[in-house]
Amino acid sequence: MKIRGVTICGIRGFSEERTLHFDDRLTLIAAPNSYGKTSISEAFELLLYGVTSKVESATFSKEEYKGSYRNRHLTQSSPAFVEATFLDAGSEIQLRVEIAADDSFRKFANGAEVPQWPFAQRMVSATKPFILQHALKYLLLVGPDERFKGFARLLGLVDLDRIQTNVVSLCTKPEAAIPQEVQKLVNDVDALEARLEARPSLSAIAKFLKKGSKALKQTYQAVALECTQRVPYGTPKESVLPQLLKIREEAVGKILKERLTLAIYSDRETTLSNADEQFLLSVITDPFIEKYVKLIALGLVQSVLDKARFFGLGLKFLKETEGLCPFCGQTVSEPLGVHIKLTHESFEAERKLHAGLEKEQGDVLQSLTDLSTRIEAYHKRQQTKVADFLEVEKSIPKLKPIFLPKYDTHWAAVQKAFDELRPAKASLNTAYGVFTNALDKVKSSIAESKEDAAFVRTLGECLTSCIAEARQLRKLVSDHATPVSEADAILKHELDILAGTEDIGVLIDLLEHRKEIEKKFHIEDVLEGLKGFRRVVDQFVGNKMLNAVSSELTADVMEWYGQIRTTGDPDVHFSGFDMERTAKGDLKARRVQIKATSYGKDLISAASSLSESKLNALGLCVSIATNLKGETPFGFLIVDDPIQSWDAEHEIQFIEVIRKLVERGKQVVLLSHNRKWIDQVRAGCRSINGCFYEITGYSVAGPHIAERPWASWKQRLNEVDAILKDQNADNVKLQQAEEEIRIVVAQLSVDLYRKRRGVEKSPHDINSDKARKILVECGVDTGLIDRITQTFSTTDDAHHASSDYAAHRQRIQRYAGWANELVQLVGG
Amino acid sequence: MTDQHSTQRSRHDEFLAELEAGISDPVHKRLIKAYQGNDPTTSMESELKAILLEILQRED
Repeated sequence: MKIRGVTICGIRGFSEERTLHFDDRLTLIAAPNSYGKTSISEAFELLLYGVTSKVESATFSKEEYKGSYRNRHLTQSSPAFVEATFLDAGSEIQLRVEIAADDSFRKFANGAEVPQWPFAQRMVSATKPFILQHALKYLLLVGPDERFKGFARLLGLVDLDRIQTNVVSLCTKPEAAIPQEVQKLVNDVDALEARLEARPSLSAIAKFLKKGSKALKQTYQAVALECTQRVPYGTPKESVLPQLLKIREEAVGKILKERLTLAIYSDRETTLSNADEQFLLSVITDPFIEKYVKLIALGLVQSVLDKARFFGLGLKFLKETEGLCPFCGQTVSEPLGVHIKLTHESFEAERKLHAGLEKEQGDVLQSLTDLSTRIEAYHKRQQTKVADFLEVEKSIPKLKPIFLPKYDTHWAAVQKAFDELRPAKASLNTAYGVFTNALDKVKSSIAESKEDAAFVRTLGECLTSCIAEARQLRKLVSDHATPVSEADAILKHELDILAGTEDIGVLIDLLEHRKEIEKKFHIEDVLEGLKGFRRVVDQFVGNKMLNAVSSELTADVMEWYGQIRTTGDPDVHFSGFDMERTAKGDLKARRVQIKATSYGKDLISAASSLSESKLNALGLCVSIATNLKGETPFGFLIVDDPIQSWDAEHEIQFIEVIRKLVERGKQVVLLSHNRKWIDQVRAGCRSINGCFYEITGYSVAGPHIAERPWASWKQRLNEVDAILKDQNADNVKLQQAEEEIRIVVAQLSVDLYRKRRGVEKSPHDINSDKARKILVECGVDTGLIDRITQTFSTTDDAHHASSDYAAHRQRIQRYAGWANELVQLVGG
Repeated sequence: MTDQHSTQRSRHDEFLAELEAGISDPVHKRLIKAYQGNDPTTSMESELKAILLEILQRED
């Protein structure tokens, strides 16, 4: 993509609309400081990225910049936009961005609003095509992490940076990934270790346990040894734990038998309760109520159904008694038998009509039975959960002195658990009682054929209320389980102290919780292992970055740095990029090193040793090298004031860099406050024949931009003359001469127009037709107009260097003569 | 543009595949495998949670 032109309006220093055309190779813009030069590069930043690098790199208070893109003199409704035309793969594309008063952006591509640019994906990994003076040294002078990020961005290694950042985040702060139950296990085992360490008699075990998983076997050998010393001699191995438990229970039981047991809900319990709730809440629905209400009809036909059953039974028995009534034993005459049979058939037909209703009654009753069974189990599960704990409440007088005053917070937690769980359990019981009454009422209504929708609705409300109470109880259990469990551990410990069974208590816990201890070690190993994981990722990312900066980037940057350095420089120079290493030789994480040498000796810190101008040059070279590297949709480079703090010799050297960039196919837009240097650039790149603008003044409306000739027509005609006199001038030289004549003719035409009509025109888009029109309007002799316009027939080919173009010395001589005729009119 | 996007994606995946290949610890391998989605840190945290819970719930 190359820039054809841009119109800026209402942006930064541009209050009114300004349009600039760009040469496809080199455009120079000279302006004193504060004349809106940087606003031009910022307009392109806003157009392409929606943000300026100045705002983007602001480390604090981006709010300060809010609203700063729009020109301050615009009214709310005035348009602020940047519109540029680019040439992309042979096609023109017009991009326009509009910035509203609230800083919102709207994008348009070829007139249609778009959410993002058509080449947005190609922009992601591409280096921004801007070399801005305030960003040049940025990479070199920031902290290590910022520098690393900057290099990753420049080298297209942002993914690596992200991978490392994310892994480091996990490895340094894994707390968020430790589930509550895992943390509880770790805390419990830690508490046991603390109790063990507090027992001098068990120090041998403590010593091994401290060594972690690798000494677990020795730990339990030491535990076994200690245990055998505390049980009767000859106790079999498998009886050691029961024996210890018995000793402890006997001793502790003399003081207190109760324990504070309030276990956290297991996954199984939670799953069961959730499934129960889901089922229970799905029973009393509108279809169910409808089905239940329909059963009223069953009451109306009940007598018919009963009679059908009665007759059916009678007929069955009549077959067995052969002509005798099965109920009274009298003879049943044939007509009576027929009558009984017909009556039964009639009732049976009626019964069949209502068979569906009977089935529905059966379904409703089954649903109610299922509901009853399920809620009973659900209710029992919640009740049982707190029953043991609440049972202990009556032992408060014994418990309280064990906790107080030393463990007042734990005691307060236990007390709070009692105070909240007791009424919650009672409320659940009440709700359950109300529910069962409502259920009985519904069942009775069916039995008595007195169905009433209000009964079932009440049942549904009671059910919801019962579940709500159960949920509250579940929540309270979850809230109190951990503090109660901690209080229980203290109780156990204090009882051991009172009973003199501390050693035995610790040994029992070590034996009972061996699995937990193993798991805790395993968990610790995994968490500790994250450090190793981080090291592996650090080295991987470090090596990738090392490869990119030392082999690829260093060579590229050195190439450009070599262009800028001068022979008169003190020999203190940038010598390459590297990654810092530890004393062991490992790569330090995220430490890109900038190396410099002084007369052959490595310097400690390049950033602090290199002069301002050299850092500036290095930053510039890094930007250039990375801009030329990798895939990018941009064929242009906007370079804003690159030569600040440079001496004259470096300034001259940099002109060659500009030239090389153009030769490599980059369209360069160069802005500078230094008019003299810009003139030197024009002279140094004379044959490029680019565009040159000068900002000559500044007002509320914006900068006054004047287009200047790359070279004067006098210079150009002198060059043409010199080429024509050179008998050895080759085709290339002659083509250059013809191209110069094209530019001279265009320039002279607009100069004449300005002189005679007082109107400025751009010489850049002058062709044969336009030149004719201008010259006609200026009253030029028709013969000269014909001759002048004739030059375009071949100078256009010279300019575009078409394949069938052939330079012709005599033709160019003729053209030069005609151009000189035009010079006379302009008054040269 | 889609190709370009795919190229970027595959480069990201290449880095992860190369990293995973150089890792021998099975826990770390699982963490790298879990590195995906818009919030890979959370994704890795979830995997670490799962690993820790597996240890906790292991019966043997």
